[in-house]
Amino acid sequence: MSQPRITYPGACVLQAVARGCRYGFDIMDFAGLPSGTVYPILRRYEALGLLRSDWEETDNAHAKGRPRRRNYELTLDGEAALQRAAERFALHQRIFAPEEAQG
Amino acid sequence: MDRPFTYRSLGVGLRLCAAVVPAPNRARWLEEWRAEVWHALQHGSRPSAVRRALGAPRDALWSRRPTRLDTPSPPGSPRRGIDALMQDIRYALRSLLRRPVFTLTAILMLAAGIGANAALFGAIKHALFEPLPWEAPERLIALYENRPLQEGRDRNSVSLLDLDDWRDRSESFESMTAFSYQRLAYTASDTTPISLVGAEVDWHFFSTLGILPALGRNFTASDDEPGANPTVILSHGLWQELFAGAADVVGQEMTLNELSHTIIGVMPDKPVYYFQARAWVTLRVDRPEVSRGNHRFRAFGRLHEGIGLEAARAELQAISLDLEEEFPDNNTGHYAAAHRFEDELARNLGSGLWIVLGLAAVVLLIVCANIANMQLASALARQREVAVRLAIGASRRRIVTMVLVESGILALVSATLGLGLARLLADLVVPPPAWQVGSTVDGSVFVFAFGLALGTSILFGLIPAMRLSRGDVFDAIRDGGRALGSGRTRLRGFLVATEVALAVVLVAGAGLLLRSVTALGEVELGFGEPDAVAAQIDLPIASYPEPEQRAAFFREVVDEMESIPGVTDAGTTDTLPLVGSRSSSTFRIEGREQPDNPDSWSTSRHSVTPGYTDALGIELVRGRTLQDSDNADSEFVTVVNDTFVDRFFPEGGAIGARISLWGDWHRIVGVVRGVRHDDVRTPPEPEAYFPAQQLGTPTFAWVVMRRDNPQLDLAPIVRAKMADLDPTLPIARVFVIRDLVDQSMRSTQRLSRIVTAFGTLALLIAAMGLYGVISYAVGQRQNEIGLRMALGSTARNVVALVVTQGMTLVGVGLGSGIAIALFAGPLLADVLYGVEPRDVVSMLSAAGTLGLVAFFATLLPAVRAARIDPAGTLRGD
Repeated sequence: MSQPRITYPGACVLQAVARGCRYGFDIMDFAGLPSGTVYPILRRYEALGLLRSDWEETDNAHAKGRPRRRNYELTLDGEAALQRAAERFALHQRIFAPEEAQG
Repeated sequence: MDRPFTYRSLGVGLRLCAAVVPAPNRARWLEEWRAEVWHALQHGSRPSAVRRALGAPRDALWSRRPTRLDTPSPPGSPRRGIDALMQDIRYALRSLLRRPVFTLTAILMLAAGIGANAALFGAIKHALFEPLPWEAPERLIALYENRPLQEGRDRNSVSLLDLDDWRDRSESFESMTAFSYQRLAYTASDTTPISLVGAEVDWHFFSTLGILPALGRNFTASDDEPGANPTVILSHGLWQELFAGAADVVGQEMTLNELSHTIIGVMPDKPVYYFQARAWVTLRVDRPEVSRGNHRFRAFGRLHEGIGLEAARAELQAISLDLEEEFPDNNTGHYAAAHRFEDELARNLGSGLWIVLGLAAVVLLIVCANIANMQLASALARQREVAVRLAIGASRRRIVTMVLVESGILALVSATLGLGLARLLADLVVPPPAWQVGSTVDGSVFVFAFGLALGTSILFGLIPAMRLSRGDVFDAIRDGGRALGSGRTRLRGFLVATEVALAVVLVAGAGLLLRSVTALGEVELGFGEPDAVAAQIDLPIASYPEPEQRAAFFREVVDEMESIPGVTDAGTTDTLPLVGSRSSSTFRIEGREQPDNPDSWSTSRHSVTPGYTDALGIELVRGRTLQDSDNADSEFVTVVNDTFVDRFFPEGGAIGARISLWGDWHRIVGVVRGVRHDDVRTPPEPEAYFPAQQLGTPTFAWVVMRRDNPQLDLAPIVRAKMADLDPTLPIARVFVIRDLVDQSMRSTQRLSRIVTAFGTLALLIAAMGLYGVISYAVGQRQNEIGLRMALGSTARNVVALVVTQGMTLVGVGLGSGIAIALFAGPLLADVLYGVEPRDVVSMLSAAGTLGLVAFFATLLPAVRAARIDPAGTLRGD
């Protein structure tokens, strides 16, 4: 019945994941938010079941001589939450869109 | 190159952060961060990788928090309300901290306003509404014996014999008691005597008050009989001071006024009567020896339960009429008067406190208006932010709450500060009367201050809140905030006009009081030597039983004092000017019929030695002053004042006439200027100065010394001389007559200081408000002004334009302010002196001062407006 509350940065993170950003730093780049904001959101949403995470194959990573990365994707709940957030922040986007276009 | 190095360094940092992460997640947390940092170093710049890594500590800290199931509570649930409120509080705090100048100014102004109001509220409540600290205080009645047909005071002292009769014949009173204050010289073994404020009381005193000794026993009838062994009851303070609170003090002896007194009790540690005496002794008066005409006692009584004051008054009146018939010599025209203790208190405090409270409230109103104004101004800056909040779904109510929470926080912080201020002010503004113990800032003042804070926060928060929540979202955002401008300027103009009006009222009040103080300062006091020094002499009747002994001692004192280098004249008197205690007597004039009402021929009488009038610089108008040759063996003489002559000898012929107080005829040999004896405000009454030797030298006197150098400190010399003359006398109080003048003017001066401070504050706040509004308006009209200048308007025109706009507001404020001041002026009538409550000079100078300050407050933004670059503003548009 009760649904998780999505903050504006939270909506940005969900949007970033929906647009295909899978790793923490990529999500940061897309959402334009600092890591100190993005990571806590990722952890919380994962705990809430809006996101789920996986680890890269160890062999694959080690073969390339680097540590394995953790990737995130939306769950069904996450998609629904994003949907609701998008409706809620629609006006917001309208307000800022022209400016972003100008900028 | 050195990327591996950077990676290794960041790795160390990440490892440190990981220490914070809960153990089960630590390894994976570290692995994820290292992978991302590695990736960032490989595919991006080093600084950006480092910057991103800086979020790790925060993430590490967050990972320790249990994940709340962060779901909104259903609408209407209390949890949701609390969540929203907490959010508003956090937000308001951030928003206030972002505007430190606004926040600090608002808090300081509010704290001053709330503090002043709370202090005064505390003082008034304590003084007037707190029940008196005695049993059933509503039944306590102050008693006086008045001569209503006689001019002058309506609360005169009581004759002991009359009081005895009232007590015996009255059915309304449970008990009555008489007492008088007396200095008690306490002599411990081989030390200099200490002078204590004590009281002589009859044995009914404590039982009438309804307060009994905490230790030992109360006085009984046998303690009060003539010839009884002298007994004393100590105050708690004196017991602590002299006997260190020893429990076995009861039964010990102490020497007071050279008589050994048995200590029979110690009072509890709470106020005993209004004026706190330190020890009480019994009267032990032998009634047959006392004259019925001797009115020297204060008195009060306790009504029986259920008896009304009016019934008691009627009964006392009937008794007085009976006594008048029985004792026509002494009691003609004398009537008992009865007033409730509570009413006496309210009367004594006068209207000053209420006036100050009223003024403090006005200051608070101005503060509120000004903060509302500042809020409106800063609302401009926040319009866009509010618009965004509205856009993303905040309700209007939420916005109003947000602004109110902000003003609430301001008010609460200010109230806390204000309470601290109130504690400081409480003693400063209104020194608590002597019977009050403890601070006047108590729980109720606390509640009052926070209530006030809440009220004011709504007052100054609601207007901006309503305004802010009403704006059109998109207009506001597109316009960069100019959309809500005009309505708000009108509102702000109204607020500023209100501030100016209230400030005029305060400044006008201050003006009236300052003129009163000036008038009081110029009052002809009747004596020319305010720098004269007075020292008190209090002779114990046991060592100086005969008037001749006392007269001889006074003569010695005067001779000794006159021998001090720098002292030009010295004399003694039984009454000092401006102290308000003087004795009056009716008299007869030789060769004239007594008037129908003998009390209408009444004069103050002073028992003095010859040097007194010279020492105090009382000017001789006609005839001569008293001389050493006017002694008990020569013709009895007197010197009267000009008021006496004007009233009783309007056709002249005063000098040479003879008057009589109690049988002896005294010839008037001189006329001196009238001296103000009651206080600075009260004009001189008829007075007659008699040679002490001819009137019977009293035991109590002041020796007054005229100095040729005001810097000369006489106190130690006088004390040494007195100790030489009689080492058993208590240490004399020595002071300068000017202190009495200052004391008499103090309440008016204090009031005028407070009001001036309030007025100045109001003036500054109003000027600030005006400056803010005009600056804002200039900002609003920047384009218009730019356009005007582009079309050829000169800087002078622009300044005139802006100043006119500001001064129009000021004009409205000044006009309404003067109207209010004219209406409210008479409220001050009680405390004014020598100036009309609707004094035109004060009103106009208040308006002038305010107008001038306001002019400069508008001139600054006007000059700035004139510097606007027309080209720039037009381009900007």
